[in-house]
Amino acid sequence: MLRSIRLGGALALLAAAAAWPARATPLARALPQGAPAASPAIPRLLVYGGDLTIVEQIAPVGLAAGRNSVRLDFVRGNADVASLEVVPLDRPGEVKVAALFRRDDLGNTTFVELDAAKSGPERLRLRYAARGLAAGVAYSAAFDAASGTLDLLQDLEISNGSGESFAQADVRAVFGVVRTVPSTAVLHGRAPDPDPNAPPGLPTPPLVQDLAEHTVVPFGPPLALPDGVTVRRRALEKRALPTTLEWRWDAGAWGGRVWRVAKVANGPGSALGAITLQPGSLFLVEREAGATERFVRSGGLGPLVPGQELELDLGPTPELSVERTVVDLQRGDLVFGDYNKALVSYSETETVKLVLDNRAAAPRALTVIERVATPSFELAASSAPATRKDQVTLEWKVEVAAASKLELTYTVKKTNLHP
Amino acid sequence: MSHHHRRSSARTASVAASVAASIAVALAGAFAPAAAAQAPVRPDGEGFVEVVVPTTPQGVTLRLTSDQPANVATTRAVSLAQGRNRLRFDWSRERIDEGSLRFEVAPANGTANVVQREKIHRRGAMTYFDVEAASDGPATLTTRYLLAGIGWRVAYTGLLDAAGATLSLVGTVEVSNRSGQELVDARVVFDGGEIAALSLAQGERREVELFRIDGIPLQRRYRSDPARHGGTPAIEIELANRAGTPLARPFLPAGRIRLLAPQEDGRPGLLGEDVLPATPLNSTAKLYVGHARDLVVERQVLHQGNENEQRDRWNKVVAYDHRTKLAWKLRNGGDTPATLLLVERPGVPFEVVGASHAASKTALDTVEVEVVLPPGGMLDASLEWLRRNLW
Repeated sequence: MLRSIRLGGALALLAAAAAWPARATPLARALPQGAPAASPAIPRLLVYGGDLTIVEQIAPVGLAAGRNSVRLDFVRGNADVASLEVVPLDRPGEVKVAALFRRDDLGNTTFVELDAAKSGPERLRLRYAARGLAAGVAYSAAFDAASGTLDLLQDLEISNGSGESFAQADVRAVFGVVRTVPSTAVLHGRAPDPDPNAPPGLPTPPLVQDLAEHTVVPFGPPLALPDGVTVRRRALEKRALPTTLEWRWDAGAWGGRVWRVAKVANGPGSALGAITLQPGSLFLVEREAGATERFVRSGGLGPLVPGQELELDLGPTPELSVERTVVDLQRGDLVFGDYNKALVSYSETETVKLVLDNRAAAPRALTVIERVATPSFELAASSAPATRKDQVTLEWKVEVAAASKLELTYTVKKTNLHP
Repeated sequence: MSHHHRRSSARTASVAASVAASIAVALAGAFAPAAAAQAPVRPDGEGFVEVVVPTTPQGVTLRLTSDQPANVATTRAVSLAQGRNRLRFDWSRERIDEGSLRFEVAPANGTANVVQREKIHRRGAMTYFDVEAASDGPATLTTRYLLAGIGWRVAYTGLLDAAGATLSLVGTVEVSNRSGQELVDARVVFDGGEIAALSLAQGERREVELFRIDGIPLQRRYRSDPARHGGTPAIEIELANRAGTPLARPFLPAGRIRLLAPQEDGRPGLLGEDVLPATPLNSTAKLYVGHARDLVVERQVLHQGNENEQRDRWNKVVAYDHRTKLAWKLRNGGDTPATLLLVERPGVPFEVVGASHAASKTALDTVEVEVVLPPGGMLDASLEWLRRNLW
């Protein structure tokens, strides 16, 4: 008995709304493995990074007792038919998939051969990989300088360039790194020729650290997703998040200007609420007194895990400036070789003056970061306590009084230098 | 065959009706005021109400910064129907950054929320926003986006008084529009100023006066820096943007400044031009506007030589000290005292070992000697430095 199903074509599937989780959930909970659970009446799209989408559809068929053949036609779209998986849902003990049969002259068409103990209706769950769909998150953040709060909005965007139109689809974006293997990788006789220049031994697969850390962001109620359409919906909206501000200066960052950093707590009980933020693009503005918004910067945000503080660079501020001057440099400790009297090593003593100018009407706690050109140095003198953050980085945390200047001077002795 | 023919005829009729409707809408749009709120149009079978958004917004605010595209906020009045409304925007002519597009809706009555935004790629730059409205009624739409092609620059003109002690400063801003968008009564805000209403069509530029401030005190000094300015002393004017003084602007954006000074006939002549750096409140800007011809600096190298040479096994010098002595003869041909900074750059490292006047090491390789020259007077100055452990 032959049944025919067209996938990506005129397959009639009923739309139905379902209950939707409000936030991202771990993949293991979102997709229970094993026996099929409540079957969606509309196609479900799991959109991964790296041009991979898992399409899941339910197709009802009527089976006769004995061997049945169901013809699946992938008439459009970039479906990977080699990844097709067919699972009978209603009578798993009575209906078994005997084989998936394909012919070269019929292209992607697949015949599902089913053995049924009794005749009757049966629903088949079809799952296959497709290319051409993409999902991404975009953040827009607005820092309100007057209230010291941050609005953080997350939009989820899905773009369908697969060639296949979905009248209704349940779309979820999966964020994380998923390793895939081409379906022909271990097909004997079709494997690529071995690389004559390859190193000896078996190739080592790349190590991926966060395989267990996928998160799913549902797109919300089912949507129509025709081919060639991009749809964007709000996935997260957090208003008036309390922030703490810091001021930092590093000669090598932001063109040597003082910049502000807004920090938002993301622990349990915080306004952000210990959430996971998927990596995505960022559009950051600052709300000003005159009801205008100043564009600060674009860039990226995330990933952010629960408990990790959200940190946003708010760009340079004109209310603070640092003038850096190397005021002195002297050489000493010249060492000459015993045999040829040539110069072997020397030391340099360098004195740097930083004038921290606070033009604001309130005191500012400024973090000053300085990088010394060599790791072999010692801090000989400093007008304020310094912390050596790593081999070449010194850090000061100083408070500059309102509308005043503060002079920070330090001397480093660089040793064991070579001409 | 006949069935197919009937379907084909029905489709043709539907297309014709659609084209006719489009033409009617286009004609209505052409004759109606562009900014007027349009009534919702309910198409058949799509499940939403399509709202044609007015082409020209009621309010436009541009926030300009020095290194980013303009951040634009536009407001439009529309009529929403209860249920799903689809708002269509056409940004095919404007140079907008679609990734930056944000959208807010504020109904006069009830609530409305943006359900989703859709872009149909074959329809070019059309973007659709779906809004779910709780009730019929007017609403204000705010769209925000980055717009490329809006340029702005600030220029200053300063007129010194006869004594050269104070300055009258005029600041202007020029805005140019190559964005593809027609600006009508747009509020333009930038670092350090604002234009309340600016109308600017595509390809136009307009210059507007920002401020005019008199009696700004300034300091004038002279720098003799052969490495930077050549043999004649340069005129340096220091301008302070400070609270409590006439010039107390929140921020002076960087821009060309042209300084004028009265000539012998009382009419202003050009003293010189420079670029005023971005100057926040409570900071100063130094301007280099030209050279002084009434100050003469004669520089002489009295001594230059090596000392304390260290030699290796083959008698080759591997390390040494280097001493330099300089002398200046300075003349002031003017009738006012002049503060002159003699700038030398010995190299790194160096230390000052002697000077006739106050000498200070202002940078790693720079030393400055400050000399005050009396009117019509002459003065000698000297400086000596030593560079140790060279090779």
